[in-house]
Amino acid sequence: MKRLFAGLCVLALLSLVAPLAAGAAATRTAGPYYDISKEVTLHGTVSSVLTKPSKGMIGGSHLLIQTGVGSLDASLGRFGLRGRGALSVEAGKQVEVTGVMKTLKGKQVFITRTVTVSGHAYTMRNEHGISMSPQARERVGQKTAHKGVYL
Amino acid sequence: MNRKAYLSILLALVFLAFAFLTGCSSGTSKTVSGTTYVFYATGLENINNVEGPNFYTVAGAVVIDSAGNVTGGEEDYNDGFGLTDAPTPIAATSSALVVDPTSGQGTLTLTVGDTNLGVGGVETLGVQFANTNHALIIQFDGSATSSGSLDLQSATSAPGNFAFTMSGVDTSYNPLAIGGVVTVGSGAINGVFDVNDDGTVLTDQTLTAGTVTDTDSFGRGTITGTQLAGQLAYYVVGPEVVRFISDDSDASGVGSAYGQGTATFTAANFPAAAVFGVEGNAWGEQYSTAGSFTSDGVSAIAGIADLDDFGAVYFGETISGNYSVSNDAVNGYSALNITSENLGNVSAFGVYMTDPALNLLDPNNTTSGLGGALIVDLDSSLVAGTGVLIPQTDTAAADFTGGYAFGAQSYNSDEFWEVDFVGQGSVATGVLTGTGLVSDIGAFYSSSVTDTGVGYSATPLADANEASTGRYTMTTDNENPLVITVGESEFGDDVVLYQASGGYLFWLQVDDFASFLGPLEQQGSLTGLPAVQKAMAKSPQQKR
Repeated sequence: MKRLFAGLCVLALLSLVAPLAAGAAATRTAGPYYDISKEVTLHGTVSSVLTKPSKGMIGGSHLLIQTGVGSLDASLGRFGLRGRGALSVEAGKQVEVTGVMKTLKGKQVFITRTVTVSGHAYTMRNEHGISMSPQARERVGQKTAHKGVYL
Repeated sequence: MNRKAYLSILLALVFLAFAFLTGCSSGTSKTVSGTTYVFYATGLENINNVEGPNFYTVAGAVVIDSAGNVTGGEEDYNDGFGLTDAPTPIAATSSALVVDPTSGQGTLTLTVGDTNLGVGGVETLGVQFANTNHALIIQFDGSATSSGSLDLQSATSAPGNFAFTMSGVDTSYNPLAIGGVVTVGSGAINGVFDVNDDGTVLTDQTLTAGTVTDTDSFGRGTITGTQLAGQLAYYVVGPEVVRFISDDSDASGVGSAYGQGTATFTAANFPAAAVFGVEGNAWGEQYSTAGSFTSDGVSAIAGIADLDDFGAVYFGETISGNYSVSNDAVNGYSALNITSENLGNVSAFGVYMTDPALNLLDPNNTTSGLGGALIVDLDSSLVAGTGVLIPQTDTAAADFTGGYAFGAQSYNSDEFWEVDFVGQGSVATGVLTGTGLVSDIGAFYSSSVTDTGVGYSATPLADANEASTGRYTMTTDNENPLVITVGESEFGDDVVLYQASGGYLFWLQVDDFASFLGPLEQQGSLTGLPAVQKAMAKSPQQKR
């Protein structure tokens, strides 16, 4: 009982201190948009390769994929079909896509992180769902001469 | 002629020769006369096109004489992918500011020392003056497209406490944005910052103390030794305003720092009502958002906002959330969270309070549009978003009238390229009409990379509760879009306006195919503008 009382006291104390601590510094909160723990991998056949979005789609390029459970709108982001390391695929190809299904403004879209075609894996986005540019693909694994951490 | 007179003439000749030689010397010693303007811009580059367009930034100082001739200057230019000038001189040769004296619209040509930049070393900026001290600018020559600002330089040193934001690409060429609060003095800089680097968000980071050099005669100095960059160059606009740019060859970024004055910031002096505008950079997630809100003076906000996130439009969403302001360890280091979960992925802003006596859009304006804060978007999916919030002081629709300079940076979800425009027009009896310059490398509007004489017309429709929100719409659903006329073609854009005051508004495009964000700034006097006074010709357009 004594231990429980001590625990309750600590909790009570924490409940008093916590708001003060929160007030001492600016509080920043953000939920994950691309929650990698919710990633799924799907297989299907490419029915269309869209370099531009159709009406109602989010921006960038898309694959329409016929899966076992229906048609999938797989967003490839801004750079998926552009420049060095761009995805090379055509209609009729079997693909494996890894990403997160999202509902944006009432429409389902698959936020694609990787696409595997004929055993070759292409990276469309990073683990946060951010599109990867040709320049960034070129620099993967390169040593840069930077002195700053960020810029 | 006696010996005394002869010696006087000889001495005078020697003096003149010395003055001439000094004036012709190279380097950064400013021996030119005129008015100095500091400029910056960021966008996409069409030159050095190895892997497709690159992100790029530019910042500099240019001296212009009373006739509009450029007499000197220097700029830092950086795409982080092979074109890094830190700095390159701006020559007087073929450089000039040419402006229509009525509209304040024109071009600024800069002949720079690096012939790889611009078109063979000549950069052309489209300029739209709001007054003699401030212009909205775009790069306007097909070599690149970008938006930024040009402002009268009123000081060449700026010590003190600053809030800052910057955005760009990191050393892996991924998008990032940084914001924070720093102290600059005695050749040193320290402070705290938040960073959203390719979706990895870190807050309350201690800045490694860096070294700050004195400025040269153009008001340019450097900062080294921090985590932000190997070297940042900075250009002083005024005693409390600085533009800065990364000089590292493998990264690129540009930003602004605004003084915090002597204010001690608390939740109580967070703006009671404010308008905000935040937009991703050209390399990050292409989104634009704007809104207005009121705060309770303690921790809560409520308001309305719009978002266009790469084609996913959130229109007139009622928002709520919380804010906090720190003044203990770091003054004015603040946060704003939109917790209503209805504004797409927008939920977390880092907010950095600025001097209540500063105008964040027109830094030489000391009488109106004062106060506010800088913003960095700290949402992991909305990397590289930066913006401002400014107090909302006058929502009276009757005060949204008169002449305005306007501009915007536009992202097209169909095409890769961005579009940038500046313009000038008027609002009379609720009708907006204007004429502008458009930089359009991606051929969204026409087959030209630059368009002049572009028409803008609309009738902003005030929301029923506009008096409390400052919000107007121009939409196709209301058969009332913003009509942009390029040559014989007309384009209808769905646009939302937020009025902070009669002097300053933001407009936001909310179409599923494109978004833009930019300011409308009431025009002041253009008398005495140091420019070649020439009417702006309509077309011919420069073909790609």
